Amino acid sequence: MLKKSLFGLAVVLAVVIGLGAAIVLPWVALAGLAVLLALWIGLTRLGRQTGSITVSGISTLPQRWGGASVVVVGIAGVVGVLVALLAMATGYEATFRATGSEQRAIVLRTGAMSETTSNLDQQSVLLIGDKPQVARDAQGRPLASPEVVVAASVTKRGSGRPGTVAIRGVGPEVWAVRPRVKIIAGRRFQPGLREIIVGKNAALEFKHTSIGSTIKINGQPWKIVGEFAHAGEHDSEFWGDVNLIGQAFHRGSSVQSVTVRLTHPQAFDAFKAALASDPRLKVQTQTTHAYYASQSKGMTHVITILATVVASIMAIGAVAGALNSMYAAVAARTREVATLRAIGFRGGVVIFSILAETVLLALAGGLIGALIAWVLFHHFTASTLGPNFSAVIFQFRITPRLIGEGLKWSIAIGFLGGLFPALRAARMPVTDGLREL
Amino acid sequence: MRFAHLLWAGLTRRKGRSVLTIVSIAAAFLLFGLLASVYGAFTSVGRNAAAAHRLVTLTRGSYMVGLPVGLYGKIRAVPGVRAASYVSGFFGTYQSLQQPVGGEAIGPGYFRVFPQYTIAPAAWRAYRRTQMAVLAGRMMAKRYHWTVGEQIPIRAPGFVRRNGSAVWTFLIAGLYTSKPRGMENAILMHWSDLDLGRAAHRGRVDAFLERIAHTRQATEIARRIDALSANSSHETKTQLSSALAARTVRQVADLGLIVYGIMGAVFFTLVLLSGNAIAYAVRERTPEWAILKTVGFTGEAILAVVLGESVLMLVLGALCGLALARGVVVGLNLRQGPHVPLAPVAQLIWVQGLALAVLVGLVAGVLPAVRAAHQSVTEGLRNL
Repeated sequence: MLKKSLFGLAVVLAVVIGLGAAIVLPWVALAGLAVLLALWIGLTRLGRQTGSITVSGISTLPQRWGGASVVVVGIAGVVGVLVALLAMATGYEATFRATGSEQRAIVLRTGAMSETTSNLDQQSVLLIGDKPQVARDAQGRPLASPEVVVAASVTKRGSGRPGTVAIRGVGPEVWAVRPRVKIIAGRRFQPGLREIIVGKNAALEFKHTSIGSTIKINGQPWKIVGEFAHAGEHDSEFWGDVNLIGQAFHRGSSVQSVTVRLTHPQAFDAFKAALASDPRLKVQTQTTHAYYASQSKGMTHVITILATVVASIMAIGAVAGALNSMYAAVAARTREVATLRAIGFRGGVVIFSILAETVLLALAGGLIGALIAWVLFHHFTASTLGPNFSAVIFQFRITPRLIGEGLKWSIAIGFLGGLFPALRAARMPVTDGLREL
Repeated sequence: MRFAHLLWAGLTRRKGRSVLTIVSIAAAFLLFGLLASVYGAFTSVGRNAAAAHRLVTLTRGSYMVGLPVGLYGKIRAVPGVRAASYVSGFFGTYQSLQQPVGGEAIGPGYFRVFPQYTIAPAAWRAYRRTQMAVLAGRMMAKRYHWTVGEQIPIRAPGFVRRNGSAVWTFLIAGLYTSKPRGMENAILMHWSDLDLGRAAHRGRVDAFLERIAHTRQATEIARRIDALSANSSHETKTQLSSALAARTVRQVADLGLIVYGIMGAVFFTLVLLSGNAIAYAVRERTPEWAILKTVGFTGEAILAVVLGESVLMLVLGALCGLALARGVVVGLNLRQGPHVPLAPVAQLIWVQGLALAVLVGLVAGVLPAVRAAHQSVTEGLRNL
């Protein structure tokens, strides 16, 4: 009785430690463990015994491909769905992260959560630009871009359905404030003229965006004169002169935000303090890095939770499937295992070999799942409504970290699915097993 | 039905395996139920009876510019429009940046267009005669512990007041409830208070709302409303509320792709998994099929028994999974309110789920069933 409950306790501990290790340990540590294991198998007597039994077990796989494929496909499904969903979150987040920089700061009105809910008057714009931490160009003008973002209804390519594009009005210094923005076709818009340049993703998504064409926004015609690339969120936007766009959208002379280029990244704290201590200003300051990261947080969070919930439920199904298959495999090998134990192999060796077999199958499943997700979804382009109530176009991104994450899940499922059948095999009385002969 | 006991005996023969298989099936159908519920919540936004009788008029330009309130009189006079109103959105925060408050500034006639609100008569009277009064949704009031008669300061940097401040102080005149409950997470204020108070955008509304008698008149009435402002600087687009909701959901995400993608992966795995479990069960009973045949069972009868067992297992699992999904949805809706958009696990979801279960059961069972039915008696008995 005592022995039995002690054994139960040991099993629970093994499960907790095994799963905890698979989830908590970084990928490198897991790889290190795998190397240690390989050394143990290669160099010690017990290890070599274990290795040879594992190999002989695996060599019987073709005879029971049905059960093996349940383990592999079940886990491939879990990992495929997990990786694909996380790739969406990663791609979205990366798009926003690439937009920000530690050397640029965005100034909003106190209490505003995003540009759309912010408002700054002309005097504030001038005061912000006057701070000494703001970099200046050769003529001594501050590198500050007063901006408004408005959402406008335009027609999508393909479906012809209405979509919403963000139109950003930017100041004349924007090219120096955001030096990574490159004109890839046509030219810059001219301040004072109703001209628009389109981000490269917006150009793919919306109609009437080729250079030279005219697009109607808010009832007025605007001429498309160029296309720009930036490798960030701005690629989904249209850009034009801040004053004209403010007027066209009835904003008067007020803007929403001012983005400035700092003299160097370390100047941020001083800049923030200077603005906070100015009694004429009611503003809050963030680096654009922090601002754009916070803008993507909500969506990324939702997708990550969705991915985890869906994959967890699928994982329960996959564990049950793996348990069934491995119990059947153990039952089919009853005689073999009993014989091994009769000629002196220890129970631990048997447990290890069955566990190893399941985890290997699981890893294969995980790799297949990740591969399918990669083939179908890497660089898959999607569009959603972003924080400015307008389209954000981004690409799914499958990184090595995500694949590692998927493989961890597959190891955990394989471990759970193999452990109990392995224990049953090892604890079966040898005489019972041999009786089946 | 004659075979019922045979089916049951087959299922309970290896309880452990059956339970594990049913757990897998239940997991698949739990996911099916939850995803169908989320999908249903998004696609049915505004697909209720009220929304089928409500038109929404938006600007063809930018929602940030909106439409002139002066259109209201003309819209009300359009034949077929039973009642009309207008709204402007209002967004701010209460006490801290982490406590958002969404609201709508509403014009006259609003509650004739939205009959799904319930307001106590006393609250309604207090709201009507008080300046800067708001009606708070029950959920929002509960979240921020607001009480009737309380003054609430809302910081709204996007709505600067004429005196330059961005803080609006409202008086809570009463609470409202609504169906669906998601609409209780807001405040409703007088549009005139917002418009008189704000520095910019005066005289502009985000949308006009019209109630019509019959859905089939929608296209014609919408055309008439849009004709009012054709070729002006504020052209409008009028559509059914349900159509607008569907369009917005489409812009947020191609939910269909995500949901069908996941379900595709899940059910492909499920067919393989349950097929394999049935195959095991059939294989280990090889002698028994032979015996059944010897005592007079036909091949078709054995085919039916195996298929029946497979379908029974799937249906049991599906029932467990769907019941679990229902429990989760009910639990989350009670606790979280509208944070997780979940529609109740509707009849349609049960019907679809069970139909899927039968289908998967047939597909998974067909190969083992054919094998059992075609197996020769002598071959089978040899293994005895």
